[in-house]
Amino acid sequence: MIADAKVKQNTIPADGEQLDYRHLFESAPCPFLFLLPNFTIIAVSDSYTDVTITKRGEIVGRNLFQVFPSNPNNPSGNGLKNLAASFGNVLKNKSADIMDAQKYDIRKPDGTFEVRYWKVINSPVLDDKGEVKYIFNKLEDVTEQELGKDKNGALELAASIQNKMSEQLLQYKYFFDNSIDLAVIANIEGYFEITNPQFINVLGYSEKELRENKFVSFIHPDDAASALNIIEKLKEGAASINFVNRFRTKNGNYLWFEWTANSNKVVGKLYAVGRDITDRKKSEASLLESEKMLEEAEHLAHIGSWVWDIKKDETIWSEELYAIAGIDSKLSSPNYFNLSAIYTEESWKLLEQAVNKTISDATPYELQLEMVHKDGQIRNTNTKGFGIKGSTGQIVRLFGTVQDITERMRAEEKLHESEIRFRTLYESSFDAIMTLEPPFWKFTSGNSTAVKMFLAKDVKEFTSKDPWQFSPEKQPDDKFSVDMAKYEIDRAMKHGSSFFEWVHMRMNGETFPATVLLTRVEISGRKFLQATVRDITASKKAEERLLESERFLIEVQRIVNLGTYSMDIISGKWTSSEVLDNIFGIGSDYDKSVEGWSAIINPEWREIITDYFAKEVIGRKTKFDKEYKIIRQNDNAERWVHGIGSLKFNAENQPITMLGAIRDITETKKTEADLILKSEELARANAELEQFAYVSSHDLQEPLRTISNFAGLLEGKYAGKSDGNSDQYLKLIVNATTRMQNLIRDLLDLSRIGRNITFTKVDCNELLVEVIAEMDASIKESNAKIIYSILPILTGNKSGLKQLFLNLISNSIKFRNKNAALEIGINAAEKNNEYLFAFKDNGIGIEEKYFNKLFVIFQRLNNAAEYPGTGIGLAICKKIVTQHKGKIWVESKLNEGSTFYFTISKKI
Amino acid sequence: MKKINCILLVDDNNADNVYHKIIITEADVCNYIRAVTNGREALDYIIKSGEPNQTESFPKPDIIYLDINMPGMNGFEFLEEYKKLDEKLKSKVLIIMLTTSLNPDDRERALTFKEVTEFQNKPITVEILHETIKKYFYPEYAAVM
Repeated sequence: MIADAKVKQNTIPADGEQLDYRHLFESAPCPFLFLLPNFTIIAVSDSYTDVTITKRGEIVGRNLFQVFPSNPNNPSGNGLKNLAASFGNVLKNKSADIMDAQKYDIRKPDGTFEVRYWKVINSPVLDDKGEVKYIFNKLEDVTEQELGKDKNGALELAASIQNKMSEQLLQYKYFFDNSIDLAVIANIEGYFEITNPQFINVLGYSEKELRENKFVSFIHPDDAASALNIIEKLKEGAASINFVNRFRTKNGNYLWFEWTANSNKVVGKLYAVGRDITDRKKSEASLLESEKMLEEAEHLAHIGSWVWDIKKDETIWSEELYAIAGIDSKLSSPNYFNLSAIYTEESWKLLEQAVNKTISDATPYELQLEMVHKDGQIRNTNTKGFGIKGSTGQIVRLFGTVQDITERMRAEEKLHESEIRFRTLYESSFDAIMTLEPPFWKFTSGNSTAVKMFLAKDVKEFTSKDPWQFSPEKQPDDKFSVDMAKYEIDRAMKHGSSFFEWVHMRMNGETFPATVLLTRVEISGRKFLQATVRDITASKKAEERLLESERFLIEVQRIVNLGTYSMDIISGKWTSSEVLDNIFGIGSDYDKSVEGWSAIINPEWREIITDYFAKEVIGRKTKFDKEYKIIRQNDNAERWVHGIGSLKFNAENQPITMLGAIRDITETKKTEADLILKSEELARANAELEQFAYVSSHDLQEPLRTISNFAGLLEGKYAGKSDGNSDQYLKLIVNATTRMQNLIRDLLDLSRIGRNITFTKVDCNELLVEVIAEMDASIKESNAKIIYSILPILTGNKSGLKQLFLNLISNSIKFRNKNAALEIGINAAEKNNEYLFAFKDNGIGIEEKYFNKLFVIFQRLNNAAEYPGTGIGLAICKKIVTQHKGKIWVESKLNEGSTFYFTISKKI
Repeated sequence: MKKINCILLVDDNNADNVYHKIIITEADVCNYIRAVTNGREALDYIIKSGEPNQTESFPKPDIIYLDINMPGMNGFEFLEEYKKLDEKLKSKVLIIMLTTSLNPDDRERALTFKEVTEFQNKPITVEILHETIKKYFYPEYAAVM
């Protein structure tokens, strides 16, 4: 700031108002003073005090004639009398009065007087009314001229000078030798001629060394050029020059010196006196350093400062203050009133008031003021100030700081915003949040959820209740809520938090399950608890449902004897259900590792299963699905199991877990084996039966044929030759045997279906044509009309299908309506997995109640005389359709006709 | 139409043999009707018929009606043995297998023997007999039909 002050002073414009008149006055190079009309000295120039050898403090405020009394040793001096007369003229004429040279001896500090002659000019300073306000008294020392006039005086003077000279020389020598300053006389050739002892002391060189080297060689290289420059100026006759440079000492250090040098052109000598200012330089440097640091600190803290010297009306601003105000420090001069421009009107008023108060009663101030930054933005500042009292007790200076707190206020706003946000979160939380404080652990706050959850009217009611009023007397474990709560509170206070399930009670007495999280909170040394209560009624119910379904699942697994397991693929560790443990015959302490698992598998199966698992399940990622044998561990029984399972993969598609189910299928296997045995037996029995049917029908056929043959012979030979009865009897025998033969034939056909059956491609169109050709006679005889659409080409048993077509058509012919021309319609349609055939006629139809009986063997619906038949035809049809994995059924209306439908599967 | 010489019936069912003799007699198509009751006897008969001076007691058959199911040597077994016989004995002999038309398998099996001329269902009728004679012995008549 000192640096700043210098800069600022240099920038004072030549504007009369801003000149420091006092300073100008006091430092004017001519002795004068100002007097009140009563001759009291009110101001005096430095020059006056110098020539009169007085001090300002001693003379200002005192009467001139008291300060300068008559010389008691020279009462002839009439100077004071003349001076008083001159003052009288000034006061009377209100114009200047120039006095002749006056002898006015000056009293020296030691009390002696020195002879002086003065030319005095006195002039008045008038006020607005033209009255004399001050008297201006100016002196010109004319002692030498006046003494020259007086011969006696001249001799006196010469002697006195002589005396003085030799006396002074001694004094100079003394001063030269004992000065703490360095004194030196050098010649213009650049060599030292005389150096004082201090010079040698400080620099440490011998006199010889100093003499033999050009003195420039002792100067710091950086300063050498300017030193030479100064010497040049001195040679040219410049008056005394002050300068600063560095000299190297004997031990190589450099010291700073402040020199005053002049020269005598006539003798060609240079004279210089130097003072070691190294320490000052150092402290200046460190001051500069600390100033910089302060500046930096101000910058960091956004604090600018200013000082206002009220008396001098001098203001110094720190750089940061300029920065805050957004003003270029080089383009503006600081002034207390400049502040008015950088504050808003309102803020400036506040500041002015505060400053005035500080000036009047020294009250420091601190204000939050709005500053208008140069860019137009409003900056929030914290402005502080205090006064510094002068010796009179008045405030002479004001010191102030301005801190830009815009950012801070913004941060505060943000903080406020986030507080609102948190509050909103707090209030809108689904959980009830409340605080409890010691020592009685009463609720001290609660969010709206808490109020709602406990059915309180408002927060006030909520916090007015005792916490125990929100819990039933006892918890489900039959412990008292109070005891339990104390335990949990202690735990939370000790460990920072506690989380537990709790049954709470609403204000209407209804209880509900909840989870409670108690968290210890410490805010400014005050410890209390925050409780987060969550109503878990819904999740409890869900939990119960889950538990229920889990129990159900376990029960189901138990019932169907299905064991389940989960195996970690990497570690090989597995867990198993109780059912599986039972299937394996192991206890819960069994070694559930890969080895443990392997030990359970029957040795014959171990390699197979291991292989299968590695190649198929892991290798191809297929499902595990295999039946294998195990050794039940508790009784070493060999058991069959069926295992199914699948791998669960992680995000990288690596198998991590195998989940599976295992069922003991030993009994099933046994049953299966039995079944295979039984079905083999059955097949054998069937084959035997068929063989029997064939052989027996063949054998039955023979005697029948014989009967029929000979009955026929008789009939032919003796028809009409015996009585009518025997003709009839023979006819009955022939009919019966024919019928018997048909029966046996059909029965044999039926038994033969399914033996050595082969499936080939069958074109049903060709097949139908073949059938129609074979049935040509009966079709013609019945005058039947057969209409058919395009039929499919399918895979089937050709002779079976032929028989099927044949039977259905012959049925239609057989059961035709005698009163209508027979029409048979044959159609087929392709479905997803099968072909659907329909054989429709306009015959006599079938009553619905017989539909089911129709396909049963030997079921006849009509009398044998009118509709001869064996009752096997449709049974054969059904058997053929069944072989083709199809179905056969009928839709019919009595006297209107029947439609026989059947399907033939595509996958035979 | 000239009569053929002999028809040999090979059937274990005596009733059938009697009936067929009546029918064949009635049809009046051959000079001799002989009947044997199994394959073995039929073979013996054929061998004997090849011997000289047996024309009366074992006339050489032109048609052999062969039943399938017979005790001792059945029809198929007979056919196996018949194949082995001297060609002289077999020349110009028709073998007609008689079936009860109940078992198609038998037909298929019989067809594997080239010696079998055709199948006919029991009982033989006069009409069928006439047709058979015409067909195999007097094809010129058959063509007219």
